[in-house]
Amino acid sequence: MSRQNPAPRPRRRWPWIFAGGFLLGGAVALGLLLTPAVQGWLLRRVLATQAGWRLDFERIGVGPTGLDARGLAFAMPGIEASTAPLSVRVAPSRLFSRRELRVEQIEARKIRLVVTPAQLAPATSSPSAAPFDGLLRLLQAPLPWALDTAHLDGEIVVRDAGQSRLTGSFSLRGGGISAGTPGEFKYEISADSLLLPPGPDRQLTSTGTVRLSQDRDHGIARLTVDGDLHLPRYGQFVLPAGRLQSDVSTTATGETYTSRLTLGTAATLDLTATLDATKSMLTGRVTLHADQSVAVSLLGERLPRASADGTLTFSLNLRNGDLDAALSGDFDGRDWEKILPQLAAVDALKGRLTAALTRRGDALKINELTATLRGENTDAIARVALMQPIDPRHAPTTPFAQLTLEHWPIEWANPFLTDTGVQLAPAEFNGAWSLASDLSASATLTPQRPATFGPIQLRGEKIPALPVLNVSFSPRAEISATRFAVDVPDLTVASANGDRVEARLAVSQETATGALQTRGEISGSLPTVLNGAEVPLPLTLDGRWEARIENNRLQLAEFNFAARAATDATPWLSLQLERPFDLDLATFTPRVTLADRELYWLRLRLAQFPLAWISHWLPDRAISGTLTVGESAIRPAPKDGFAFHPITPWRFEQLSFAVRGAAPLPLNVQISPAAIWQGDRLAIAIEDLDVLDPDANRLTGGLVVDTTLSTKSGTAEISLDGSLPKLPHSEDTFGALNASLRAKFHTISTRIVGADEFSLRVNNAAGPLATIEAPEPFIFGLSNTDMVVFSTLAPIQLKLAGFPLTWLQPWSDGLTLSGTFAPAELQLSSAINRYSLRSVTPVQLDGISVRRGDLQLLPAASLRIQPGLDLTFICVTKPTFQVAYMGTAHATDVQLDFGGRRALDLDLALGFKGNDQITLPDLINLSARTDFSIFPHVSSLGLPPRGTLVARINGELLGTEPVELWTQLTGVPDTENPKQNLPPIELTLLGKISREQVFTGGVDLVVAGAPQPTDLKFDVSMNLIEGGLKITSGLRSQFLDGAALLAYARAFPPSAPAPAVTPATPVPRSDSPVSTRTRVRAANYATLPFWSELTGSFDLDLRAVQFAPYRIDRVRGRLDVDDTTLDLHDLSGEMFAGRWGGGLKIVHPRGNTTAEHNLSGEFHIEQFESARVVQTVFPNQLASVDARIDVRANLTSTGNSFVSLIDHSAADFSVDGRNGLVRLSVPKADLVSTAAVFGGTVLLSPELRALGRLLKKFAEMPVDQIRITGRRAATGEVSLNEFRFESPQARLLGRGRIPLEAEQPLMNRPLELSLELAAKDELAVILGGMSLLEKKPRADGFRAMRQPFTLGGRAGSPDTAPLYDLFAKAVSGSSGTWGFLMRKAQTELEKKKTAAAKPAP
Amino acid sequence: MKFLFGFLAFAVVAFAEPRLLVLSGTVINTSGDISAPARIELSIEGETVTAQLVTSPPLSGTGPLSGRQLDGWCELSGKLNGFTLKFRGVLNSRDFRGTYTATPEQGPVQYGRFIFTPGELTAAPTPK
Repeated sequence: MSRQNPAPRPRRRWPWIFAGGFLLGGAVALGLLLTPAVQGWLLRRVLATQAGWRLDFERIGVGPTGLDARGLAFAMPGIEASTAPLSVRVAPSRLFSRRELRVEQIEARKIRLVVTPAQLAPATSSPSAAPFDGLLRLLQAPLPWALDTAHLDGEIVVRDAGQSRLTGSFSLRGGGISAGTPGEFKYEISADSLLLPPGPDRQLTSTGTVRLSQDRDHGIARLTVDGDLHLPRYGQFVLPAGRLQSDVSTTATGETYTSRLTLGTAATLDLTATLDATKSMLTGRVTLHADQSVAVSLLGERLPRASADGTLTFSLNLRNGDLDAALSGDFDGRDWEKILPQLAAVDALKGRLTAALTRRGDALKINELTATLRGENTDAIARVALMQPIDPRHAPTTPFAQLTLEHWPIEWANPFLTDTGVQLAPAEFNGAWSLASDLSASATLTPQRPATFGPIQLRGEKIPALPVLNVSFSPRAEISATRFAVDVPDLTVASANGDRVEARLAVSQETATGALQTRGEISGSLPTVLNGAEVPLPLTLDGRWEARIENNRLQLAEFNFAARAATDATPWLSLQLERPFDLDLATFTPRVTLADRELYWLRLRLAQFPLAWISHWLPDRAISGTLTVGESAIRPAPKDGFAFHPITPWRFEQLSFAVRGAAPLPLNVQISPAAIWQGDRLAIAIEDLDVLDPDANRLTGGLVVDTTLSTKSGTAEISLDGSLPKLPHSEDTFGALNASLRAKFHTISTRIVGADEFSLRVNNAAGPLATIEAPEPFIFGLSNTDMVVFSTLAPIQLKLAGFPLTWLQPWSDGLTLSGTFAPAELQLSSAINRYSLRSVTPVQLDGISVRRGDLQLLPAASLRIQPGLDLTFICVTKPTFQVAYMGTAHATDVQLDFGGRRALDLDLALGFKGNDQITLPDLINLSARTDFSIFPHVSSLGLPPRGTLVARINGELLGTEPVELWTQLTGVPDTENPKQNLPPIELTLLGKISREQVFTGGVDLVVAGAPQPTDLKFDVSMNLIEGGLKITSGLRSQFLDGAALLAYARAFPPSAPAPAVTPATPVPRSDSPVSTRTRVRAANYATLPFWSELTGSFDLDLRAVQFAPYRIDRVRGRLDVDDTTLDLHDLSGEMFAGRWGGGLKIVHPRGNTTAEHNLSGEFHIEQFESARVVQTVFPNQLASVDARIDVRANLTSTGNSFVSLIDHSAADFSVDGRNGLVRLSVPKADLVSTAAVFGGTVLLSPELRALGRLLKKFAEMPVDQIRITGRRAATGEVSLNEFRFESPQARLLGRGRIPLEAEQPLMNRPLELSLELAAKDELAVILGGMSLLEKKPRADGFRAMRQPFTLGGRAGSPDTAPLYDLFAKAVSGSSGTWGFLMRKAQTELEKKKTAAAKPAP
Repeated sequence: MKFLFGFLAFAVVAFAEPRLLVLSGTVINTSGDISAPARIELSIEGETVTAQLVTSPPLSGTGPLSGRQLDGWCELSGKLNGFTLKFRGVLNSRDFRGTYTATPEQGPVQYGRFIFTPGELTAAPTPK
């Protein structure tokens, strides 16, 4: 800094003066500048230099520390701003010290900012316009600056076309920005769009943060916005809360812009753009992704899966406004059933949208626009495509777009038809339209070719085959601001079978009035629709109509329709409008003058209309007849409303209706249907009802129902009379009948009806036959829970006169009935849903006789029953129709008498429950006593001639309580000794019934035999639906008396006839798909095995099985039973100290049409003690054979029952033993002489002594081998084919037989055994000495006995006398017998004793 | 001799002690769906049966009954408490079980079932 020299004094004034003047001037100038008026003048002058800028204020003051303004108003193109107080505080010291404009505070309140976007845009087309450098470039400052705090608030208005489109408020608080330090501002924006309906929900709000940072040139380098965003709702449409993130940054050549708007997970919108300021080009891309959750608020959670992705790329020249934009988007939608289950058939759809738009100067063109929707798995396509480029601001006069629908499957509609029972066969819809529009007020869709539906074929189980139809039509649609109209000039429905209907129709609606107008005509022929293609029924249709509906007023100017056989024939059915029809739809009142009330408006004529074609539409039903004549008309009712008025009664001739092939009953029917609809009242009447059948049975009467619609109340009256001279099945029994039905009802509420009168009477000449009468009113209807209710004040009386049972003959399934049904009286009472039916007196049937052909099943019986029923019946009509019931049927005091003697006492209570599909028995309580002896022809029923069966069954058939059957049979005669009864037999069965209707339980059987009762325990399971008894268990017994069981088996005579006379009956194939039960029913019982439907297996565990006198201990084995075979196998046990075993199989082959069964079996006893067999019969006798023996027997038999098989069984058997003893007992063993001979006394002769030695040999002869073979014939006789005993010194070989002797065990039956004896060694010497043997030995060294002998006696105790007689002859040389010899020996002994007693001479 | 055997047989029948059974159990009025404990004493003499029935609330029916039993089939009836009661069922060594009707002087017949077994009176089960 330099220092100046002081100036001469006079010269020094000028500087001071100059300085003073300058200062004064400066002070004045400053003073003037500080004057608000001057400041305002200056500000206006500065702003006036900017085109379009304008500033107004009430007061403005700029001071060294800041600026204050009031009533500030600023305007520039597109923006108008005003503020109440505006205060700006700056720090001047920073300005001078650091050349930094530091604004300490800006506070502006109640700012009003009006933005008009249309005026805001720069005149980009003007080449002279300043280039746009970017948003942030606008915020440059000439010197460094800082802002400490700012608080701005106010409102913002967006205007367009002079109207506010959006109003809102804003608030901005923050600051802290300076060079190098970013600033942060909190903002709040709330905008209220006037485009939305009024309300608090139409506001757009956003709160967040704006961050600003400076660049080196004091400008804004980056601006970021991060805030939430709540978009307004539009009606039900609410978008999720969103988040907005935007970033504007400067670049070397311009700016970049990124922005992301997310709406939860539902949608994302991204914007990226770049501004190249050097070229004034803004390029960018906008992408959008959204899924179905965007629309959750509008459509709920039941949305299909859908997503949309779109991309918009653009390039905008900011200098001239040239724009190139391309749009592409994809759509994917599926799972349409989430909207509506019936849409499940609709294919997944994929959409594609492409568009290209350009703007050059003022020329804006959409060059391309194509939107396509395709099925993912089908060929369905919908396409909208521009046919030529268009300027959306200037619509072309020619069609510019094409709408195409191709291959849209019609069968997608099938789920909607499911309830109707019909379905569409695969078919499709095709069509193409061109679109012309002025893009503002109207559009026209013009068909480019006829649209087609087809081939349409409806199929369903309940409808007949219908012709395949093809539909074509060319619908032209016009839509404008004032009118919507569709015109179809060429609707054609045709089939290949000659069906063809053509129609023209037009429908239009005026927007302003809502008036709907339609007119059209139809004509054609449908020969195969009514009756099918096989038997065509010519049907020609023609009709015309013209109608208009406006302001709830229907004006029918023209309507006529006729259906007839041929064009020139009299119509079967015609509807003819006789005068214009004018109806107020709101009140349903005709607009008519008084004079017109008697005139008909619409006349219905029926003539010779065949009805048989209806059968073609009703499966299993046949309808025939002709509606010969009928005429009715609709006309105004006398006061108001309408009347359906009968002019000529409707007459049906030979009208018949038959179900499932039943014989139709042709009737002549006449009715006069009538109805009156008068505002709130609707009355329907069937008058002059007259039904006449070929037998002159006639029903006459009528029905009137009169209702008040608003209160849903009304009355009904039925009056029918029948004259029934020849009613089927009763003519010969009751003669001519007269019947009458009288009933009057009225509504008590909208859901309950009261019956004031009800009676049904059937009389014949003798008097009343059947009467149902309500002595007091009863009510019925629906409860508030939609349940059917029925309550009686007093029981409804049901009276039946006595009638002969022959009247039931037609329903007796081939049985011949006779007897009488005594008069009976029943009472039905009910309380809500609990019904009870009681008989006042027992139901009595006397003299009942039932015959099937020549077989008398029930002769002269008397049956008495006290029936009753308790029933809870639940029928609910909503939301779905459901029926459920439970109850108990009672039959008490059931008495069946024959000839005044009681054959059966029975009480039964059978609980049941069910619904409309099934009825199931539930509880059962049955007690009964049956005396077989009272039943005539009891043996034909397979029962013994006498016996008493007492039984009870108790339990739950469906529940948890077990079912118990207890029964006792007593007094059954023994077939072998009819005067004697078999021991009582008691059977208890206890088990449960499963849900599958299978009974599973245990059986306990006791036969009270002596000295020990027979017991049997086993488990069974029985399928109560399919039938069949299944056993899979052990069969346990402590003692089983086979004879007792066999005796019981014999006591029940076989119900099957003898095999030889069993009639052959075809048997269903076993592999046929019918159930077992069906097969059983279908087949004669003779085709079944005697074990019937018993199947399964038993594991036998029997402690002792006795078949007196034989007994087998510890019997084990298994019984397998199926429908053809009963297989008893792997049997084992102990018998006579031997091992018993074997098996038995009974076969009844499929296809066997007789009752014959084949039995084959094998039994064996190994190493049993033969002596014990003999001792069971001859306990005090030594067995003739004492050895360990093996017996094998093979059984065969044929018979129709187990007893028969046993009785007719034949067996081949073999007996083998080794190392035993054979005792040929000595006859007359009690004689002393026999003992002496046996003892070999020396006193006897040498011959007798030799005989004595022989006896000793035979007394206990060791045997090396024993073999007996033979056969037990079916008659019971046993033949012994080989009888061989081989001992060291003797061999016995013989043949013989054991004849049948009834009721005797084998061992006690007679024996005839012819034997040949051969001997060697000592025995040969003895016998040879007795000259009984051949001299020459055989090859085996034995010498055969010269003479065979035959043993008799019993099988278990053979009589050896013939052998010993032979010996006697040999010894005595005479022809005497053994007894004779022994007497001689005795005499000789006596002599020798006497000689010894005498003294020696 | 025949006369002697006949006399002895008659004496055996005539002077045989009647068989006395005391049974308890449940009676269930199925028409009203109500059950109650009950007790019955049976005196059996040949085919003739007399009984004393004691029914506990909520059902009523206490008094004498008479009837017959044959081969285990047993039917009893009697008039008590204003209605006619008729029991029919099977009597065996284990129980006396069957169905009954109660016919009031006015009103419809009511149906029920019963089961009596040797033993003490038991509480009525829940009706099914």
